[in-house]
Amino acid sequence: MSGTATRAQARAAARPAPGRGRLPRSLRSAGGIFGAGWLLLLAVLSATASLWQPYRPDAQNLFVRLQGPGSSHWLGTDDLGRDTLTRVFAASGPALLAAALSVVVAFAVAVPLVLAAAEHGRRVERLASRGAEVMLALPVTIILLALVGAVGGGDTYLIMTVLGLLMAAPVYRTLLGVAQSLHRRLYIDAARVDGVGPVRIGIRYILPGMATVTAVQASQLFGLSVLIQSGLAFMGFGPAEPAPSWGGMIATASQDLYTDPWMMVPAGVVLALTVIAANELGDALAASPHEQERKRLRPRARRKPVPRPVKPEPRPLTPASPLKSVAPASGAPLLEVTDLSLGLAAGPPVVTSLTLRLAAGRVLGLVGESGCGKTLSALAVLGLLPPEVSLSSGSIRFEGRELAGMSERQLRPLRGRGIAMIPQDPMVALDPLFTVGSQLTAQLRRFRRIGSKEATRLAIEQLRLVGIADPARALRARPYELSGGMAQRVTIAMALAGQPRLLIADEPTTALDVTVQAEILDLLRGLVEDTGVAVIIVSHDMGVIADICDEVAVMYAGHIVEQGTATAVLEDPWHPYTTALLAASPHLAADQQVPERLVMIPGQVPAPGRWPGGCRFAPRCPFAEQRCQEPVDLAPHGGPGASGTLVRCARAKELRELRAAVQLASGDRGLAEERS
Amino acid sequence: MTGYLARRVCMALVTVVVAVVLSFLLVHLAPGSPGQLILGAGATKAQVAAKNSQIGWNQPLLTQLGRYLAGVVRGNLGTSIIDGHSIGHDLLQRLPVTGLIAVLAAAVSAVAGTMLGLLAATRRGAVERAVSTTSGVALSLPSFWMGVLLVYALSIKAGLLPATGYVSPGQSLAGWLQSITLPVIALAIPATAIVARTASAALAQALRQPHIQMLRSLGEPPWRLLLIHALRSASVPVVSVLGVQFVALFGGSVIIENLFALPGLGQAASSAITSYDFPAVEGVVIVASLVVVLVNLLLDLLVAGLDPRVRAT
Repeated sequence: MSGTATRAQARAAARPAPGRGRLPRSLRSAGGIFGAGWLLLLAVLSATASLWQPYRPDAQNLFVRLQGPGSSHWLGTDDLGRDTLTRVFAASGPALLAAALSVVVAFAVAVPLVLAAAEHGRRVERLASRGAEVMLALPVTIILLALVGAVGGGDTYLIMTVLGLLMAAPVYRTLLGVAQSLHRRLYIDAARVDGVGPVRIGIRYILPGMATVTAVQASQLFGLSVLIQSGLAFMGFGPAEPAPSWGGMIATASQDLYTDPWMMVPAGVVLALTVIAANELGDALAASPHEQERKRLRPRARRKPVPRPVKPEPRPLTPASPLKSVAPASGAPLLEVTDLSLGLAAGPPVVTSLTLRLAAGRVLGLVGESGCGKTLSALAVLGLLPPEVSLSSGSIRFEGRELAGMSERQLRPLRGRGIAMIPQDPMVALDPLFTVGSQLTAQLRRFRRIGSKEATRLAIEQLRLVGIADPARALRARPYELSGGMAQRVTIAMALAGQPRLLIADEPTTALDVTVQAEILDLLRGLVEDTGVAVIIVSHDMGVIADICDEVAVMYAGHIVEQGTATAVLEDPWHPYTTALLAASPHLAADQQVPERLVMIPGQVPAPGRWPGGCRFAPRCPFAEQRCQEPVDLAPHGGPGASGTLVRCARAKELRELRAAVQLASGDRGLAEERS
Repeated sequence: MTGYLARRVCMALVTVVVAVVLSFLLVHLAPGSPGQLILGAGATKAQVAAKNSQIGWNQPLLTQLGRYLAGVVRGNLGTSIIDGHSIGHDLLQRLPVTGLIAVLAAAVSAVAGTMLGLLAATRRGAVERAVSTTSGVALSLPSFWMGVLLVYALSIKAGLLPATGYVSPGQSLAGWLQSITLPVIALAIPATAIVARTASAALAQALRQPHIQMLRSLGEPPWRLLLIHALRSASVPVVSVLGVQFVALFGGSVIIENLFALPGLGQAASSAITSYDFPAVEGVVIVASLVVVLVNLLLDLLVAGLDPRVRAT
């Protein structure tokens, strides 16, 4: 489970249910309402001008020149005594039409090109893209001026058509990205396999997919077009007198600025409001797909866990390791999490009453399906919870110091020095803009307070320690030049730079290739043995847990359901969820029959806030009965001492007896088959 | 790096050629002829034809284009059909006026926009909302109207700066700064808003990236996270936006020169258009394209310096 996934779930739980309204969702923001409303008002006012205009736009009256706002001329008059209100709105019709024309032209040119480029692949795409790149670099205003020089400023519609042609370039570039990502979707491939032709694919799938981006860009370009148009009119190349234009009115006003400053207000405000309205509308339209975009472009999709080779032999029981959570050994443990609860801000809890204990040199596994709270629990130890999740109660003691309630400032010195983290996906965990060497030495210098020469020497030593064969070369490399395994070794070296006593590894091998996974786990095991560092490994992979952990806590729906030594939990599980996880794991229990080994757990982990009141696993548990509707405590089973496992199941004991009986029976059957 | 550089230079050259050919075609394919436009409606056909042949308009289009391109390559932009002056010489004197205003406005908006973006990215809540709302409005304000308002407020009312007129930096540096302050502010307001938006979005995105999380888990001080790691990765989109903005600023500078009575390219374009001086119009397009393309080339190099992945492609 990744941090982002956890966050997305948390956000989904926190989000209020979508309300029903008449307006499309994207227009329900203040900006969206204003933008659409203003443009609509302007269009209506200019379309119905002849019905309400108090004066004709070109009616001069030299007796009332340059008046301020008054009862007969609400917005005053201009230098020829023409009514400003009438002229401002008389100008709006042609301005909106001309802007709409340029937008339509831009899309009429760009959309077919985009569809062709996305369908026909590289050659068409490269040609069209290069063309668009050149067009983008052209100074649009000045080219339009050249056009004005040739045809005069009066022909607004021709000028706006050419503007539309020039604006096709940015439209093409934006839409191409969308179309290409749509073309990579599986359902498009499926349609193609079904024999749907390219034109129909374009119309049925690609065009609707581009709708939102189109709407966003259309409204932005509309605003830009209004701006350029009035800029030209301001220079004196707008519609010929006496036709009104906003730019022309501002230019006239600027000549009488000393004596009659009012005149620059009406046209300027209406022009500014129109451009603001177009941009606000665009922002409002963009706001909702933005969320989707962010989700889609989440930093690297989690790769499916690849089954690792079956371990030849289970690890022997480590002799001197009684489970500390049952019988705390003398001396305080390194990490002591007690009754920790995490919750969404003003929302449901996401983790409840988590208790963990970890001694130096030990490896603890947090295991469970995605969404059960294991990553959040691990992040809480470092104080790195996402902003929407907070610690609601409980204690986290590290080397005797209470971390819960510490401020960011107090926690920072502890990070890296006391506790460090190994990331899930090493390929994105290093800054791609810096070399490996500069990132590693920066940490070494900060932690060890040494000079750069000493830091480089130490960095080489560290990289060798984590198993990198050519450290000098790795130091010069950029993160994206490394393989996944190399990158993970580098991040481990960085995590070790501050000589921490506890490492938190969040799915440290999930993003790696099968063979590399085993190497990284070997490296971690070696580090634990050599340096005595303690490790918390978060994983959904029982194979990883079996490979490296001394102790295991199985988490389900925000709390621990079974906790004990790795040997006890993996070889002799009590809780039906643990049994199911083990059965669903492809590379454990190789001696069992195949149909029994790979079992799916029906259903999925309930989201925070939807947990059942009783046993949280009950809805998915094949053995659930009436008393499972009551809350269950984590209770010791299997007697005191080494095999003391904590289990949260009301039927733990009887289920175990039942299983033993079944195994016995199947063993008998096996024996019987062998004999016959 | 060499491959990248070669490709960028190539694209820049192509862009300039396209601009030259486009402006040539726009002028030459338009209905009417310069002879007609200069002599007006009263002229006879013979007079128009004589004028057209005098300025070479009646030759085949390709011949004219070829001759024109050959001249441009040698740095000769032709002579004005109105007063016979060298267009190249005239525009070269005007270029610094427009160019410096556009460059200064770009610099101001880069610095101010980035600072506002940093402010919005670090101070959540009210400050972030204030920056985003203000920039949402400011990026829509027409700079020529802002120019008029600034003249009214700062020159006419407050008397702080001269309303119009131009002092060359050679005459008086202080006078020059005073004469270009208002145009630079008017142009920089919308550009700053756009840079601020881009910067705050890019910084917010950079701060969410896994490598920032990794550094945070190592206890890296917040100022280093922000100013060294997040800012560097956010600077790539910011520089790209600056490139687009520079094109707009250069065009905007041309538009507002008339308002401030600045002897720049805009003024040349205006008077060339009103007097149908088509070689001068084409000259303005070429000079403007060259500057815009050159600045964008420099910004491309800056991006390559900031992001090694760009160099590698």
